[in-house]
Amino acid sequence: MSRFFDAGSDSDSESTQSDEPERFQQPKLTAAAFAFSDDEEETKRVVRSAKEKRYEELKTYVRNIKNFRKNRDIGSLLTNFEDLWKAFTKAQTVIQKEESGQVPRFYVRCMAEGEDFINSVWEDRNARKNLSKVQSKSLATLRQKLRKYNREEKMAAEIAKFRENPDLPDSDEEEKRAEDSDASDSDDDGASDAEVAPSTGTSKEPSRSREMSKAKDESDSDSDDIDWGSDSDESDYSDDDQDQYPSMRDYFLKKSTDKDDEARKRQKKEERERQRAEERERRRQQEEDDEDEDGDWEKVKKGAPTAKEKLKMFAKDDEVTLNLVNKKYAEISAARGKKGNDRREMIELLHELLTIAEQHNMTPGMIVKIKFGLTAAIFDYNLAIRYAMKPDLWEKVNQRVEDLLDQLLTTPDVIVGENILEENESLEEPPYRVRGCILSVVERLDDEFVKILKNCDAHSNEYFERLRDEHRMVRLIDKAVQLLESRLPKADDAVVELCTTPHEMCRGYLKQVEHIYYKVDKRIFQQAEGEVPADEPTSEQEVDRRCKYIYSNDSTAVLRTRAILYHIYHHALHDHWYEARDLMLMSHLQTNIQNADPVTKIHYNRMMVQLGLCAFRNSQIREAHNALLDIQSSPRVKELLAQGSSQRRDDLTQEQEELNKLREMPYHMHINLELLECVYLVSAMLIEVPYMAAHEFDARRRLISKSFHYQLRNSALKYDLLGPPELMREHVVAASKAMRRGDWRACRDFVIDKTMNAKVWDRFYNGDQPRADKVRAMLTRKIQEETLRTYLFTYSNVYDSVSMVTMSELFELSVGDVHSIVSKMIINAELMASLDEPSQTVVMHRTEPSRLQSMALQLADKLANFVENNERLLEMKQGRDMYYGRGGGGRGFGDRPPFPRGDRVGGGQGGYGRGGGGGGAWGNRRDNRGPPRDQRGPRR
Amino acid sequence: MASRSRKGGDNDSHITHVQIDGLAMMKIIKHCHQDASTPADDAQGVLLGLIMENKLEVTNCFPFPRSIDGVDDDRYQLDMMRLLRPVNVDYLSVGWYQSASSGNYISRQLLESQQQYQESIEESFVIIYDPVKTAAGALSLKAYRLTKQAMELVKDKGYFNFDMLRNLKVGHENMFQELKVVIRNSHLVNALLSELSEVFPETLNLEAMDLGTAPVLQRHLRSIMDCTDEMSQFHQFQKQTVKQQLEKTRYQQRRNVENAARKARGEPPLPDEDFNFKPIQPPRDLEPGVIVGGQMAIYCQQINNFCSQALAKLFLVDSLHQNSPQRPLGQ
Repeated sequence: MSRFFDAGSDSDSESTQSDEPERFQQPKLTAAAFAFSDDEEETKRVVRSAKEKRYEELKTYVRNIKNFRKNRDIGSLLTNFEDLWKAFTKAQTVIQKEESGQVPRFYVRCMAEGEDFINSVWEDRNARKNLSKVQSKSLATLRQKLRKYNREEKMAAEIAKFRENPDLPDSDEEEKRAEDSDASDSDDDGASDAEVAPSTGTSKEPSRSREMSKAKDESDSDSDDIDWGSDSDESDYSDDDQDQYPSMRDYFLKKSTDKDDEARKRQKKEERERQRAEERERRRQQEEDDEDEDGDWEKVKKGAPTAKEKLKMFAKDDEVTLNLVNKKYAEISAARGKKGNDRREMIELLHELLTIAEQHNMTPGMIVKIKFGLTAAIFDYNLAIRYAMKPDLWEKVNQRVEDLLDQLLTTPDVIVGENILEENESLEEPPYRVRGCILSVVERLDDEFVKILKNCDAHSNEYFERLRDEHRMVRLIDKAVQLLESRLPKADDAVVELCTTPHEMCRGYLKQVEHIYYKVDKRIFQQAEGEVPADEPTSEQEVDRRCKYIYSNDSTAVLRTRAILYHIYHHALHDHWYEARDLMLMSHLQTNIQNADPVTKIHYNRMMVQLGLCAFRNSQIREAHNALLDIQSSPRVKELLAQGSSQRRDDLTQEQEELNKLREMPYHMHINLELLECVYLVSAMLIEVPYMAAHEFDARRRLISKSFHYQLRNSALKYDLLGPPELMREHVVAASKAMRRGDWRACRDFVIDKTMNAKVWDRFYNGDQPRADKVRAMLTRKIQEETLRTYLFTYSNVYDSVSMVTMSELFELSVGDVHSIVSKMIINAELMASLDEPSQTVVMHRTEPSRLQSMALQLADKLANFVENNERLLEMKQGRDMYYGRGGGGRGFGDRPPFPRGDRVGGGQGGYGRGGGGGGAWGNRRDNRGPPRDQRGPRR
Repeated sequence: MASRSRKGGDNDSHITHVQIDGLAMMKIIKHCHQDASTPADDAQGVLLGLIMENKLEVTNCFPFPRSIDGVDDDRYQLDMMRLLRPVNVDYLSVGWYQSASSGNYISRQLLESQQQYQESIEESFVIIYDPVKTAAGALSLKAYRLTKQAMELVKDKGYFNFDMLRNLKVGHENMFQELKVVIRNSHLVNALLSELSEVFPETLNLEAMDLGTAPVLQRHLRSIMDCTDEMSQFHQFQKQTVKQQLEKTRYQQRRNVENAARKARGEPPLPDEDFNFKPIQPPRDLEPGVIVGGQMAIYCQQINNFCSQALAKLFLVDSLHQNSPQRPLGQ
């Protein structure tokens, strides 16, 4: 922790420093400072205090280093040395001015002694062994760093000079200062005084006492922790400055009599401001990420000097011109993406630049340009793309972008475009042209927003907090789109390339749609029911308008595909089944979705699933089943919908997993998987159970739904004794069994009961009860119908005739309904029966094959298959010759029908049927089953 | 019934028929019916008797215990025979018997154990008893032995070796040699029976007149279907083998061409062996085609028999129907 504060140990941050525990152990220095400042003239106080401050800082470290050297605390030594170097670099300017580049002797001495000490420790192998691991590591680091530092040209010369006569006292002033420091040392912590005294061989006893008394006087007059007057003045001063900066600046500029001085002042102010901001940033950072601490620390250290130089360069100019700012901007942004560039530093710099630019009433073009750079810099702050931004950083960038957008909207003469080259930019006079893409910025911001959402726990309050920002995001996108729309090419526009391209417009619209399409707009339902006037705009129209624009203007297939997917999703969400289906069929998405990118595939899956749910609600059971089949038959539903991953995926590499993570949907866009599965299983039940009953002995019975059968089998295998169902799947299985028995009431009670309501049915329409009730009613009705069918299939062989009235009583359907169902079954040749209108009965023909017959048919099929295979095998064996060009023989052989085909078998069936009608019906059935046989295609 | 000898196959043995004692037969039947409660495992036992010129006489038998852990079957057999010798029972093991309902007896196990028997005692045979058919009113007892070729085949476990099958000219039809079974009772028993027939006059036996054909046919059909499935599997295996064969030839050809080219260039030819072609192993539980084929043939034969009988019965009933419409029979 403290290391952060050490870095910025300026007078400003004194108060925070005192919070730090380590700080308490270090001696306060104010007394010495005052002792020194006393010697100087009052008039030059401000300037002096700067020098003072630096020197004092340096000396603190020098003294600390001495102490630690004695304690052999290598770790602290290392940190202190590092701090010292840093402080020295800071002090460089002061030294430059005050002492014309002469490095203070005490500093050189410290370095030389430090090196000697380190070398001695290094030589002493035994002692080195005793050091702890951390200590020895820091020893090595320190040794290396120190050597490197001391070997630098300037420093090496200084040290050499020092070594020539090391005992020479430091130059007057410095000597005094050294003594001062010692004095204050003894002043503040007397305990260590005894130790310090002998070590500082250069200090003189007599002068010390004098200084001490002097120092005491001073320290009495002022309490220790008060800043020196000059500085507190300054801080007030600078606070004022922030409010009336421009005027102050002007003031400085006009009165450039003492140029040097003022430049320094200004620079200092800037620096302080920067440091303060840095401090703030750092504090915040610290709270948030402790793990980043070290890395950040390193970077700051590296970045600081360069930043300083830059600032200095810029600040020295008396006139801040557009060109200069532009150059400066280029300079800063040139560092972007380079190694070792401190990203935070860059943000601050750009910030600074922006303020300056604004103060100087730069052209909006320039300001927009800087703002672009700033947002980019903030985005860059997070290097790793897979990790989310910090929420408040996002907040910041959000504000920035909004600010930028507002400005762009209010100043229409600023034209922003991706296609404007750097050279073609015009920043001086309107129309301004700036390179940059506002859309990309917004898109990026949106991506980051999604990432932040994904980063939070979906069930926490934090998620809600973040989700609240969505409307801001939407607002931002809306603004961006508004901007784009305002720049749409008009007929009289001369420079078309500067206008919004259709592609950009599409992207903008798509982004908007992305934020609308998954949300349920209740007004649409109400509109359908006439509760809301039909002309009220709903999200539907919004989506519609934008999607249609995209359909007609998009040149890349990707955007259009997405738009279609969102459009269908939106339709499906609002029960517009036919629109959704038609759009789906018209788009021909199914055919080439295989080639799409994974994200599009995910959206396709989501759309398909939503379409299925919509079909279910609209009682299109078969369609619902078909739509959900692909997704549900895979064990990886979660992954297909990008809603997390199922547990057992060992086959994925780390990379793939992370990619999957990246593609995941944020939680509020998830589709309830249990609902999905239940809808699927119930649809499968409604289709499969009657089918099973109808084709009980059919050899070629296909499984319509594998996972439904799996559930059925599973329940039969797992439990010897079935208890009442608990899970959703068990409910469906129990319901299926009831349906097979023909007990529709039990079936309904299993499908629709309290637990199922809570788990599934209430979730339709976001818990809108009346509408969910409609679905339940639909479901009940479907169950009645399908159970009736199942009943007829299963038990038709025990009936000679059934009264439809009885049926309607049994299944609580109207006679008309029963009539229509039975008729349909008869027409489809599913039920061999005829209707007797006068008596309202169904007369069974009893032409269903007996078990034996169906088995015989089955066997015949199997044998036919077998023979066919056998022939193929034979052909293959002979085919060896075919490879050498004798294909004709083989083919001829294959063409000969090997075994009675469908027609002959079908003909045979007629014999089984009693009565001509039955025989005919049989023929039909065989024909119905014909296609799969033909589908086997050309035989080889 | 079913006592005709197969003509197919070289009759390599001088044994022409099997003569079984009434007592031994009754014991077999008793054992099989008792064990029929657990259909999963067939009842098995040893036949004892002696060889008389061209006939095998079975005079006694004893059952094998239902596989109990720790009991060595061979040991048990030897012990039993040793114990039976003192009580003056023929102690030559002439074969063994097995119960099998509706003819599903042909299996690898049967072939292998019969092979072992025949190896040690050349004349030995197996009696297959069908309890289901017997219950339907017709005693079904069949005696089989393996033909010479089948012996070879089983000995070398060459079921899947097509070359071997071809060389031995083995098909399912000449795997077994069926022996005529003659039931013989001692004169005393015959005398007793004739006496008993007077005491208990013969009642009308209508069991054989059962008109319900569906269950039997269904059972058979199901069995055939299972066989067909198995055959298909076997087919699959064959297909793979053929494919591999093709692959192999192609590979070899390529190699030959390559070698020729190398030769032309004066390089040493590549080795000729095919390293990456392992013969495809048949799945472990796959019954060989010959066996399944034989099994199917038996089923078909049985269905034929059954159907002809059933048809006869139906005609009979039909004519009865027409003659006496008031009292239909069999319903």
